[in-house]
Amino acid sequence: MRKTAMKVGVVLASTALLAGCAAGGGAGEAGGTLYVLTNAEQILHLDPQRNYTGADMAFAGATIHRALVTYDEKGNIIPDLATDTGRTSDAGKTWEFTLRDGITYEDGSAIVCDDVKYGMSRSFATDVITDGPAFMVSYLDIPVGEDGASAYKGPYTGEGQELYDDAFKCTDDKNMVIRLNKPVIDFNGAFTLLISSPVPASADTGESYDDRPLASGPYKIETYEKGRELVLVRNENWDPASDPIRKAYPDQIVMEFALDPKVIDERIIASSGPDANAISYGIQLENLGRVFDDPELSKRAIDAYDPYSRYTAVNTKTVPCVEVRKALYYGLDRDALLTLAGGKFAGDLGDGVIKPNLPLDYKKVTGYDDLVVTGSKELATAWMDKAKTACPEVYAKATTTGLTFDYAVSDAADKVAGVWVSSLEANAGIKIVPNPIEPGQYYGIVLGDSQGDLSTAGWGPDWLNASTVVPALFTPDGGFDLSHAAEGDAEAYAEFADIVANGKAEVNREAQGALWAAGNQLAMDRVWVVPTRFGRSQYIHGTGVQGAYFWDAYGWYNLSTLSVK
Amino acid sequence: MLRFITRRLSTMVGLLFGVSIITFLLFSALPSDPAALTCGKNCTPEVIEQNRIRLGYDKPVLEQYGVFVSGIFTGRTYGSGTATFDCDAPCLGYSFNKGEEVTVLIGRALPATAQLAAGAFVLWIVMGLGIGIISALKRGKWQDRLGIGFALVGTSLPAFFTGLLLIFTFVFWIPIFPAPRYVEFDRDPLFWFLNMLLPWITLALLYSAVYARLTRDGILETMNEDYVRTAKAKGLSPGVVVRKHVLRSALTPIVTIAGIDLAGLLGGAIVTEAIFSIPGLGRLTFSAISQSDLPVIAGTVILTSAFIILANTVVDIIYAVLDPRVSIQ
Amino acid sequence: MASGNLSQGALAWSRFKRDRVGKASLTIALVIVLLAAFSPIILGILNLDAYTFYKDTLDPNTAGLPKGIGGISLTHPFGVEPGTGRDILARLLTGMQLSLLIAIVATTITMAIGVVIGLIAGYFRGIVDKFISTGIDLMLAFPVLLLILSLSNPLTQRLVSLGIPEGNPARVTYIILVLSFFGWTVIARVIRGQVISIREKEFVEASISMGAGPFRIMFRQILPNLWAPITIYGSLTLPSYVATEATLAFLGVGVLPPTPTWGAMLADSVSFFRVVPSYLFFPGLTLFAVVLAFNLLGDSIRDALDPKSIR
Repeated sequence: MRKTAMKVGVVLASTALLAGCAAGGGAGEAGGTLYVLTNAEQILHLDPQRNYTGADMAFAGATIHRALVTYDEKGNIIPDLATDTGRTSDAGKTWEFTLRDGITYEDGSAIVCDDVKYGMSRSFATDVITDGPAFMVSYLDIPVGEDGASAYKGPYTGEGQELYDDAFKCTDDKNMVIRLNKPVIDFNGAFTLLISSPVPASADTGESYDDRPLASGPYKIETYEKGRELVLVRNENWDPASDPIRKAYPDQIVMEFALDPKVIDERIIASSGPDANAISYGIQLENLGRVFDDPELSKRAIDAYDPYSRYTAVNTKTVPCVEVRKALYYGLDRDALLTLAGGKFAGDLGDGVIKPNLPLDYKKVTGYDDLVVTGSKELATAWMDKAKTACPEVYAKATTTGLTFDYAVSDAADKVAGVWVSSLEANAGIKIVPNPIEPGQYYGIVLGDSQGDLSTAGWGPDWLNASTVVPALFTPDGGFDLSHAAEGDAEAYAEFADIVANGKAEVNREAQGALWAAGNQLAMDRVWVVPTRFGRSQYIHGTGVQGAYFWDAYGWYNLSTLSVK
Repeated sequence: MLRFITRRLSTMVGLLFGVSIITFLLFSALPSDPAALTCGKNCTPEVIEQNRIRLGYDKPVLEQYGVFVSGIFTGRTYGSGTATFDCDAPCLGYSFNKGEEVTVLIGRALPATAQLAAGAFVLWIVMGLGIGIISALKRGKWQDRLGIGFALVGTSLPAFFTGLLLIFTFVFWIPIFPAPRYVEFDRDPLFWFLNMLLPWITLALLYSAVYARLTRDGILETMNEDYVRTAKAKGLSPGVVVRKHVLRSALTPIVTIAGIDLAGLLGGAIVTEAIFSIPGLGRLTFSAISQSDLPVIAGTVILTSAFIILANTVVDIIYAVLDPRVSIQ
Repeated sequence: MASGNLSQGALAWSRFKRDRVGKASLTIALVIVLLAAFSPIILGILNLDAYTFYKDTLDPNTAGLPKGIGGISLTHPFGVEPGTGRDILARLLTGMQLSLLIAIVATTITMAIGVVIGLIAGYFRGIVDKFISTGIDLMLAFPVLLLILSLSNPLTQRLVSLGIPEGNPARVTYIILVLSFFGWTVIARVIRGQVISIREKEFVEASISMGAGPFRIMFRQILPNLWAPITIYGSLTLPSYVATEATLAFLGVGVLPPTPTWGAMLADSVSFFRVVPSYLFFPGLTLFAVVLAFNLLGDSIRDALDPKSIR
């Protein structure tokens, strides 16, 4: 979240894994307290069905919540609550899972099939269970009502309950059959998300479940004070024999909120007292050189290719002019953005929303060979000249009142906004009006009614398929549509919609990948987003932290195997 | 005397009323829709409407104010039908962002702020009076210039700058102090003290200058008064003169400001609490501001104002008791 | 009256001329104001710009840090900003211009409101005075910083809806307005006290008996006698506004990037305290110098105008 990214992603790249393994080590020792230091006021969501931020899922998924399946350190799907990774006999239209023996909640009661079913049903209550993944709503075999939404409204109203009961059947306490509306051969990836985490109906407190969810993992919440700290203690009712994944070494995990990011870095670098057992969510720009140039500090630091593609979405409803969007594309000084993101630590220039870590879906975007990395005045001006006649209104807006640029405020992001303002003013004559937004509210605001013309964002795949990227970012019901191309660029969108429909229906994975690549290409041709960076992330942990590695699947540490002194 | 106290108390009630109603009007006159801020991201119009009614935002502002005030004394009940919940007296409102009563949030944050304010207060009074007295006694000498210069430097730099400089210098560069992490007093008294020292110094630097100046001016002024001249003429040493005769009257204006400053700080030191990660009222309010959490903002504004008004009244009454001349006017 | 003022002024000036600290701080304050006022010309001569990314000043083998010692060179005498390579001198001068503009305008408005209200309260006394004094008591009870922060978004939007251009114009207007709105009370109290004693003077009584209107007396006869407290408090209010503006920028209520301000520069530079000390040094030093110089100047003016004071 702090990296503006919002979702889970998977990376196969072995380079990143090597860093992880090197930082790893032998088996850890149990005991001690692990500290997680963060600038945030709270964890965005602890409710398993609402948690959809990579690092938060890594945190909760390794400690308090278990799901049907999860990822191992290499990004392979492995069974968690289930006995296997899911069985399908009809190319992915019907999925069957069996629950393990000995799985319980923190109150000692057994986890049964009905709880998984109930948990997943909560996703349908979109007025209460907000922000979570929409995969169940869009893929379960439940008819769509007249309003275009699912005919099932979730467990709180119970409307359409029989339709859900039909799509999700518990044959007994252990076995379930889940039927989709179309075959999706890798749909078990969706169950790695915490939407498949069990919630007993009797424990569901609706909106406030977010503050105190019932634990199924090795830790439970002792206290949770937003803006101050979250304390996790051992869940005595968790049976290690039922959980081959989580080693649960520390006795206690304390997350400290609302710390100054500068202070977080210094505390971990100094590593004195309890801070030796501390981890955080990244290293500030000014400290990257200090950490990685120091032979001692770099030993406990991680520099990994992360799952996210960073971009700035163009709201095509308010900028309905591909010429102006092209001018943005060509005028932007990407070189300055890379320097700001940490120079040699920044990663690579992005060319689209699909990152090369999806090898079956990534194809280099063509048509921008003339791109100048520092921004081209010549090309940007040429496009603006075309815009003058093609869409005079948008041209006038871009050059006079200006285009608002939404971003989550921070010292570094202020400078990024400065790059947009200065380079587009100089190269394209476009006026950019920065719109700083409080980080905790950022996505809430840009996904709501107050979105500006340009919105910075980041996105990583939910599993190794761009089916969780291309439709999510550009179709109106994808959940993260900041470009609104269906309305703002309808002609091109019609073609795009066909590609997406074909992609979702395609069962041959390679052919499907080619379709996603084509969708990505089309989106870039029409500049629905201005891609900026395929980034890297850097972390440093205290001297007492053992077995820390970058969990590519979620883009953060894997707490399952981490231990402290 | 009794009449004076009654009059002063009734003024206080009047001011409290004024402050609360202005705050209330200010925050209800904001163009943003308070109900829309209660349900996070995927607010549907229905949910907004529902919350508007639940919270009473649909009613006229003055009626809302009435409910708010009676909530302070008798508590209030939010919502209607089955989905109600009670907010017991003294109820300052309910934060939907945090899912808790404002009084609970404030009650949790107040101890940290009180510790911060009290420690800083002691420090700045000691520093301010010390510098002021020395400067006055050594008027025009280097001690005077140094003292006043120091005070000016302290007050010339914004708190965020001194605070961060102190952290980077004395925690990370020359590690004398532990890295800022708030610990309750009863968990580890020594660590608590070490951890609070830098924030105390940050605030004390900011405030002590004014006190040094006032003390110095006050002492020099009273030194010129006849009774002090007489005392000096009697051959009493300057130290005794200052202690016995000068300080008491020179300090009178200081007590007034000290009361108000301390009360103001109890409302939270936004900058200092943010820099040193102290989970007090200042940080509570700052996060409430960034989340447009109106009930919390209004609650803390009213509470802080009440502290200030109360401090003012108490100081006035103490004066009247100590010095009967005051009540005459 | 006029001649009396003149001689009093000449007396004060002669006292001020003997005050070395006063002269020094006046010089520093003047230099800074002139630097800020002529910053576009100065930057034009130096061929520097606050918004240009001088990328060749950054070391590509680092995380965007400047080459050498903070990137200090003949072309960039104060060095460059890490991460972007923007010139610190250029940003400092540009930021100073805006900060001083805000402080000067806000001080002027503050003094104007404070003097007028103080005059009215002190002149009419009685119920008017009571009303105004209670109002001041009420104002003083509010936690100012907290209100400034929480009202920033809605009131800025309101200013925009009143026709002030969105972005920096609205934000700067907001800062000036709130600083003045919460700042006038102290001045009003001081002026009120002065007016009450001046009103007892014979020349005022004489004017009243000659039938002069109250406002004529207030502004023609009493006001000229108030320039001493006005100068003193004006010169003390200005530096406090400079510091407050920096604090507001630190807390996120300030002008939009990439426009530089002291507060934003300081807040950002503290992070680079250890890696690029020059980035912190120059903005910190100048802010400190400005605030200190104006404070000292205020003191010296008071000493010069009011020799009875005990300094």
